[in-house]
Amino acid sequence: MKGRTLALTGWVAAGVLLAAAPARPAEKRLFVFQGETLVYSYDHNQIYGEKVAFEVLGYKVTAAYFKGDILSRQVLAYGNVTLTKDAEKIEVDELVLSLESMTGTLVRYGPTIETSPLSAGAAGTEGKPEAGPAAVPAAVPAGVFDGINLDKIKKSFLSFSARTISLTESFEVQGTGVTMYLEGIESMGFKRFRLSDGVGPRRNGFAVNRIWYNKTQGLIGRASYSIEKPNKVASLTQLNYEERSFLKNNHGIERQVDLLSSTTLTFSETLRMGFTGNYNSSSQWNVQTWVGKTWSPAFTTQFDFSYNKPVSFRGEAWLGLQSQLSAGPWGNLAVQGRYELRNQAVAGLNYGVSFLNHFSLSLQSYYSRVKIGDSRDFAEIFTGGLNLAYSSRLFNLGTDYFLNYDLFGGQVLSQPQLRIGLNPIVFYGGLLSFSLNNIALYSHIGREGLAERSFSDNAVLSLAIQPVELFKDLRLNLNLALEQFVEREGRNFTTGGIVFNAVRKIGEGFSVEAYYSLSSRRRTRGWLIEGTTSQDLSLVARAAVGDAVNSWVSVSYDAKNAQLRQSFADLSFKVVRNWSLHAILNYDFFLKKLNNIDLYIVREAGRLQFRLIWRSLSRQFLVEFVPR
Amino acid sequence: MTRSRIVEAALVLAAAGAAACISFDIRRFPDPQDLVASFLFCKEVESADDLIRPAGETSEFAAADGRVISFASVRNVVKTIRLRWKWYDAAKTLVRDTGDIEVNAEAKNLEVVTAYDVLPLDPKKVGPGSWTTLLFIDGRLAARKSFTLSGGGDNSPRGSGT
Repeated sequence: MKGRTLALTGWVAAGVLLAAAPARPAEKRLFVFQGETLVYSYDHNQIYGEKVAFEVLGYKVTAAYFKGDILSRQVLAYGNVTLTKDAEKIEVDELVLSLESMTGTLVRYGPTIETSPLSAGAAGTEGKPEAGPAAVPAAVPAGVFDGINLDKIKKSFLSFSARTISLTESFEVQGTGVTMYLEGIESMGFKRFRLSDGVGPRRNGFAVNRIWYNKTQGLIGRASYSIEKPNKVASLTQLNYEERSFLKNNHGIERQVDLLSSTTLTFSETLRMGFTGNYNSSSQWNVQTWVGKTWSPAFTTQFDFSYNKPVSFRGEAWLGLQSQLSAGPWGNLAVQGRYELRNQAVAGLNYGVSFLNHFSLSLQSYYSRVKIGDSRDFAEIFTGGLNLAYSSRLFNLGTDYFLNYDLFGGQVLSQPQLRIGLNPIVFYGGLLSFSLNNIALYSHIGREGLAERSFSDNAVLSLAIQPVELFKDLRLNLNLALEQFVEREGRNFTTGGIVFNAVRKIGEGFSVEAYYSLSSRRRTRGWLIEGTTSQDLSLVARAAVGDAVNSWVSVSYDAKNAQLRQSFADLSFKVVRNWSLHAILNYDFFLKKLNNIDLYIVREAGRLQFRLIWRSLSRQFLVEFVPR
Repeated sequence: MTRSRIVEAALVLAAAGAAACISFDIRRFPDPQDLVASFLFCKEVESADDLIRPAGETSEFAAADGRVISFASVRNVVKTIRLRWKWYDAAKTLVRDTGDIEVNAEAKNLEVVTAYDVLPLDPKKVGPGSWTTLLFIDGRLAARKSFTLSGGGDNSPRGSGT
C-alpha cells in the first residue's frame, strides 16, 4: 500500500515538476502565437489555429487560420491576413514563414497569384505584393501544410489545446492555459506546459531533464548543466540520481549517483583542448585531459593524460600520444602509444594503402605490457598482421599473416592464410549462377622448444538457379552447395546441400511458400566413413492486406521421422484508428505445448509508438514509448 | 524507516508545492464553427442521404477527363455562409471564379454542409502542370489545394513547338 502511494505521488510530482519548470529557462522565445482555437499534436509536431495573432519581423500579424509544421520549420497564416507596423498596413491572403531563415512570403490571389518577400524593412519593393508567377512554387510549399488539420490533430495519441503556444530558439514548443488530450479525450489541465522538446542544440543553463519513479529503480532524477559558446567552449555536465532505499524489495545499494562532465575548449581552428570527468558513487572515477593539434588537413596529433580509479584496485595514470597521417596515394598511417607511471605501456601502428587499382595492403602491429591484477608480474604481448589482397572482376585473391607473440608465456602463434574466390559466374542469361571459394590456413604454435603445426583447406562450391516462374502465380527457386574440408591430420569432411523453395500466390495479398532442404555431412578418415543427413520441410502462409493485416504462420515437418515439429506465427492486425494488435506465438508439436506468446497492443502515433506488451516467458507486462 | 518517511514526505511536498501549476480548467477539444472538414478533388459525386459525397478522389487529372470536381465539406454551420471557389491554371492565372454562393440561407444549425464546384476541361485550351484551387468562406481564404493536370495544349509562353 505504501509502495502504491509512493508510486502515485512520484508520478504526480514528476508530472507537476516537469510542467512547472521549463527545461531551458534561459532560452529566448522566437514566437508567441495566440488564438481563439490553438491545438498542437505531439505525435506529428504540428500546430493548427484559428483567429490567431503573433508578431514577426516587427509586424503584428492577425489571420483567420494558422498551420505550423515544427519539423520542417514552416508556418502558414491564411485567410484575411493583416500585417501592421506603425502606420503601415498590408492585407494579403497568405503569409508563409520559414522559421529557420526567418524569411517570409506574402501571397495574394487576384487575377493572378501574386507573391512578394517579407522582410523586416518592407514587404516587397513598395510594401505591396508583386505579380510573380515564376516565384510561386518555391514560396508556397503546399505539400507541407496539406496534411495539417484540426481532425488530424484531434486523432493524435497525445494532443494539447492552449491559449498561447510559443516556440523557443531550439524549437521547443511551450504552452499556457493548456489542456492535454489522450486519444482526443481531455485528461489534465496545466497553466503552463512544455508540449515538446526542442531538437536544436542544447543552450546554456541548468535543466531538470527527468524526475520519474518506477518500482524497480525507485526514484530517478536526471539534471544537466551546459555552457556553449560557438567556436569557443562546449561543456555539458550531467547528474544522474537513483534512490531505492524506500523500495520494499530492494536488495541492492540504496542509492546511486553518477556525475559525468565533458568540456571542450577551442583556441583556434587547429588547436583544441578537452577535459572529461566521471564519478560513480560506488567509488570509481576517472578524469582525462587532452590537447588536439591539426598540423595540416592530412596530419593530426593528440596528447592526453588520464587517471582511472576502478573499484577495489589502485588507480592508474596514463600519458598518451596518437597521430594520424593521410598521405594520399602513399596510404594512411596511424600510430598510438600510452605509458603508465608504474611502467605499463601499450603501442600500436596501422598502415593501409591501395595501389595499381586492384591491390590493397594493410599492416597492423600492437604491443602491450600490462600488470596482471595487483601482482608485480606483467603480461607482455606482441601481435602483428599483414594483409595483401587483389580483386578483379573475375576473381579475388588474399593473403594474410597473423603473429601473436606472448613474451611473458614464451608462446608464439604464427598463422599464414591464403584465400581465393571466383566471383559468381552466370550462365544461360542469368538463370544459373556458379561460384567457388577456397581458404587454406596453416598454423604454427611454438612454446619452450616444442612446435605444433596444423593445416586445413576448405573449398566451397555453390550453384544457384534464379527464381523461375513456372506457371502464373507459381515461382520456384533452387540452390545447390558442395563443401570440401581437408585437414593435415587426415580428417576430411564433405558437405552437400540443396534448398528448394516454391511460392504460390493464392489471391491478392495471400501466398503459400514451401521450403525443402536436404543436407548431408560425411567424414572420411582412412577407411571409416561416417556422417549425418538431415531433411527439413516447412510451409509458410502469408497474408498482407493493405495495412490492415500483415501476418504469417509457418509449420515445419521432419520428413525423416514423419512428424510435425514446430509452428511459428507472427500475426498483426489493425484494430481501430491507429491501434493494432500484434502476436508472436510458437507451438512445439513434439512437446504438445505453446512455448511462447508475446502480445503487443501498439498505437502508431507519428513520431512515437506506444506499446503495451505481455511476454509469457518472463511473465512481464511492459508499457513502452518508443521514439520513431 | 525514518529515511523512507523523509523521502515520502519530500515527494508529497513536491507534489503539493507545485500543484498550483495544475489547472482545473479542462476544456473539450475545440470544434470551431465553419470548419473546413475536407477539401479535395474527385471525378464524381454521389448522393448520400441529404448530403453528397465524393467518388474517385484523386489529385491527378488528364485533360481528356473533361472536368475536375472540387469537393468541400464544412462543419458546424450555424448561420448563412458564402462559399466561393477560385481556380488558377499552371501559369498562375485565374481561370474560374464562382463568385459568392449563399449556403444555409435559413440559418439552420447544421452539423455539416457539403458542396462542390466543377471546372470544365477543354483539352484544346487547358495547359498541363500544377493547378491551384481555393475555397473562400465569407470572403476569407479557408482552404487551398493543388492538382496535377496532364495532356492538353501547351499554353506556356514558349508554345508547344514542333
